[in-house]
Amino acid sequence: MKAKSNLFAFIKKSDEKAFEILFRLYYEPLVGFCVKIIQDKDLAKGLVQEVFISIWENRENLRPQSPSPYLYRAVKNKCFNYLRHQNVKQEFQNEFKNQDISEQVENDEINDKLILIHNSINKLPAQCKRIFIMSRMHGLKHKEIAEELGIAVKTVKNQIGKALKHLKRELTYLIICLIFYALKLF
Amino acid sequence: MKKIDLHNVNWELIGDILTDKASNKQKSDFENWLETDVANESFFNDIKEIWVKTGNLSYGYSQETNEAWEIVKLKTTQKRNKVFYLKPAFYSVVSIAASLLILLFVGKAILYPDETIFSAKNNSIVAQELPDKSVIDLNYDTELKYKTNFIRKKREVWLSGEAFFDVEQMKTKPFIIHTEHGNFKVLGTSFNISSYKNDSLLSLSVKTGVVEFFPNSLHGSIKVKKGEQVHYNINNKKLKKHKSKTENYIAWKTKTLVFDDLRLEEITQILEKTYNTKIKFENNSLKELRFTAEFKNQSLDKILKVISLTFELEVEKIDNYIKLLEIKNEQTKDQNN
Repeated sequence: MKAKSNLFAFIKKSDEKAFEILFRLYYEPLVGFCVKIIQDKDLAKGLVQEVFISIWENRENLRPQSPSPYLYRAVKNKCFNYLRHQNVKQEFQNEFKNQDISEQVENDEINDKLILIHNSINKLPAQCKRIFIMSRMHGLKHKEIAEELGIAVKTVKNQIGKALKHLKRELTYLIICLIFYALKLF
Repeated sequence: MKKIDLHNVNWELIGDILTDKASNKQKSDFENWLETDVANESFFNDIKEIWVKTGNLSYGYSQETNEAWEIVKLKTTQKRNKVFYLKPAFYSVVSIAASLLILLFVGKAILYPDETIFSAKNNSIVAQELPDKSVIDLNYDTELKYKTNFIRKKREVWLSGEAFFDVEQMKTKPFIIHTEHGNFKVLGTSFNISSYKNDSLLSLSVKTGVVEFFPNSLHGSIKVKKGEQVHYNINNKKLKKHKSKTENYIAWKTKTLVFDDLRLEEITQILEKTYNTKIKFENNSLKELRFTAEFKNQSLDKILKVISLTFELEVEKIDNYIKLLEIKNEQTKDQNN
């Protein structure tokens, strides 16, 4: 829990990297949640983006807390404001008002380690990061990556190894760092 | 258990094992390595955990998230560096602060101009991308402006000339195009607008989606759908809507022309627009000739040559225009002989 609450603490101090990590971790799950309420994917994307923008703009007022419940509540309120604006029938709102969002929060399998990993991926050298993301996140084959970037397959393998080494080293270091940071805060 | 030195690990081998790329030889090497020390196994399990976890993160780096992040980053960076605390105790402090402020604003104006202008000069076609990832192709002599606050509230651009728009869909932020004689509102579509200063016709051709057109002279708007074309006559304020059978209106961009039994006069009008030139006829009877052909990536010279061979015409290039004339009968006879 500590690392996650800390994301808000970092953002409060205008840490842009922390903001990016928060965004990457929660954007898609929140859009999915938002679509359930307003039934419109494009609209949902816009609303969730606005929530993130207002978090950044009002970052001074953030309290160190677990981001997940806060974010889901913010998106829910945003949706209801939108629906109220659109004069959509009252019953529809009520139906969702009483729905428990804790289910969403619990389904949310994101844990502290993911934040750490996000953070260390961000620190990889540019080319190495690109190759690692293409391989691991976008599921591209070595050959496809090599063709796309105009490099040898051997280099791709090499860079993936390099990324793994870096992550392994970084993560040990980061865990210590964050525990230290948490102790300072509370 | 010994401590493993990160530099002595065969990372490529581990990478190949995890990506399932390892050969049989590598696999047995790997097994041997695991067995040499218990520490190796727990070390590998740690790495494997990282590997699995990064996979769980893949949505955080998907195309969709990347695009959304670009938008959010853009909108939040505009707000950064704006906090300026000032508690003046003395006039001197105030004056220093004031001059700093002026410097700040002047600097900001230089670094971040209020508007961005894309332009395409004579005979050049330019493709540009806006901050929202919409792509605009500018035809010759065209200018497109947008303000620095583009995207924050709504997406607004000012156009003079001709451009093809491929607008990214953002339902909460309509895309608005201002021209001299009317405005256009869209959500996410692709279409062509031609609004040159000296033209008496403003035209809109929609390739996908719907475009809403607000002519300056009218209250209200008309909606133009996929495959439709609207011509707005600036002199008599008349609007004409019809179906466009071909995509010749964007030939300036695609370099693909389709002439299906068209009068030569219509064809030369299309060529004039596409190749930014003027074409004249020696006599009016030539204008009525009908012609069918398809051209892809051909030069104007080549197209005119095909036409002239078909109808036995002669192409004459005069300073700033091209003239089509009939080959004199005597000449034809000469050639036949």
